Amino acid sequence: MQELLRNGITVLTSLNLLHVEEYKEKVQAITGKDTAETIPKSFLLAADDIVIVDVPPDLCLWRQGERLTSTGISNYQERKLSELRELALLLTAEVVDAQLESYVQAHGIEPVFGTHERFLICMTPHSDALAMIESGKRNKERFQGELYAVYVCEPGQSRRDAVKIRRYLEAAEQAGATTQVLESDDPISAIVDFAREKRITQIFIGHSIHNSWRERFFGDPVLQLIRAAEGIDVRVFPH
Amino acid sequence: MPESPAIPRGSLKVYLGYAAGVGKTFQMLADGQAAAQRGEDVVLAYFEPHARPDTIARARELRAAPHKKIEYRGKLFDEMDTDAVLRRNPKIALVDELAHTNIPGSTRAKRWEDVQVLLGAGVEVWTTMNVQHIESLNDQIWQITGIQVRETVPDWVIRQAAEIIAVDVTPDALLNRLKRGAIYKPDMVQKALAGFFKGSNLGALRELALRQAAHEVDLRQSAYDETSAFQLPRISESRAGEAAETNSKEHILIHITADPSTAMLIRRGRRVADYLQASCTALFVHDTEQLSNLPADQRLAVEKHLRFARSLQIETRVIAGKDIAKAVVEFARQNKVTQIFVARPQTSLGERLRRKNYTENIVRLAQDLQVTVVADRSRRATT
Repeated sequence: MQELLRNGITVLTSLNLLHVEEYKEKVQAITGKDTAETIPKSFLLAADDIVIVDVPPDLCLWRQGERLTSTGISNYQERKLSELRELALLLTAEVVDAQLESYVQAHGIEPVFGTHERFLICMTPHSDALAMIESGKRNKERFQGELYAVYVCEPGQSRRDAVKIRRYLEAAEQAGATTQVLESDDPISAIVDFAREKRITQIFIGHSIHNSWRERFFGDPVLQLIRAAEGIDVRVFPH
Repeated sequence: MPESPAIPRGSLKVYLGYAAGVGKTFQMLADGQAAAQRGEDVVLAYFEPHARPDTIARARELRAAPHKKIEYRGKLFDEMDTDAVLRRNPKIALVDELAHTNIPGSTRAKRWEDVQVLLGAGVEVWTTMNVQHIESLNDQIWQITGIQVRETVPDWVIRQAAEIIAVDVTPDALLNRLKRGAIYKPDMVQKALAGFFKGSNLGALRELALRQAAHEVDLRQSAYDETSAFQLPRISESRAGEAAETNSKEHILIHITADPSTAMLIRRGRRVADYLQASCTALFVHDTEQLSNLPADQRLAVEKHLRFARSLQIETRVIAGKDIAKAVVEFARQNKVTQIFVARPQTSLGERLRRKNYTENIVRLAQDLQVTVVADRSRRATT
């Protein structure tokens, strides 16, 4: 097929989820079917176009000669197919998202916000970062979204804090987050800039418990972030 | 809703698309025809008479119920004749355009309400809609496309469906259909190209529709798993940690005010609650439990917001309290709320002085709870 494409021929082709390398194991666990014939997911991401053929499990089985059941999932066989259907829908959405991103870049237009949930956890040595990571992981899974975690490194950090932060960064990565350490003496702007760049839809931040006179005078950093992060939800976590 | 307890409710099937012309109606009709050929009693209950030619050809092959002609401002309009469909009492009724608003003078305001009547009478309904008509997505659609969608369907109506089918086509193919006049009449084409069909809009809507379809499929799997003895091998991460979470059920509280941003807050709260499978309550705090001593414009706004929350199946409460932020936080603690949803604080100094800043006070007081400050999505519409 690469040969055809190289020769300027447009190719239309069809593919089952089982034959995508990254999905092989999942499909095998569900159906017990194995295959040696696979293509990498990157091949799909590079396609000019993708179309999903979405058919409910009951109709799919009926086409294979089974008796037609009532609409919806009514037996174990349909339940298994439904799982594959969900994976195929999400894979297509991912390809469409990648296309959207390259369209935005090619046309130099503003990034599209909100087609897909993206969570950003802001970690500090004094926040309950593990609770935020736990919740972030759950939200990522439920929304089939993306998870990021950042730590803004300010000058004058103690050794103890550094150890803590390293632990948090590891925990975040284990939870499936993309992590980054930002260096800035203006943490609020650093976070908001990062969030805009990554098209974040929701920022997780811990409550700052210390109510010093300085904060009362200059304003609570949490409230400052809320004001600065226009267009993005801000979720404040307890200590 | 009048419903005879003896008749089981009909099941609902929704063909979900991302724009006009993707082929929702065409596929519904094709499936309807296949069902008719299997010997099912299928009736085309409503179908846009000014549809595309290839779709009309499909429709002709199905038995159709008569439309109702309704006169409005000297013109005749076609609507679904729900009573005629009920008299005919088919096994399956095909109803195009679920989000349609009926012409004034119709028995019910919305087509989805007519569909409720059919379902209640035990008729199975197949219908079509686009992702931008889902109520809880309204602000996101505005943020992404800059278009305010007026005809919406509450999320619970879609949740009723036994089956959601994604109807997919590539944006390029769709644009071709549009330009060769297969979707709209020539005078509408330019308008479409400046609206939903513009630039990155189609791709973004398509992604939303695919994700929505995946989510709907996921919800129906969870529902099946709850009642089934068989369990799938643990392949999907989303269900792996489920058992451990059952004791940490989320409860979302939405703080209602007279401010117009409340509608956005309600929609976002509803959406997040659905994804997290959380319960959801909306709360308005006032000097007394009666709204009667509020200035008329504020009372109307608050009543509208409470009605809107109820229409999305959110429980509403009005409680008395002098200090609003304190009352909200206390209510949250007493009712085991896990997350409070509040609107963004007002930005201009004047606004902040006029309206006491509940949001900041709630954030300050609720140090033991999660508080989500919801973005004003209407301010970041990309063009």
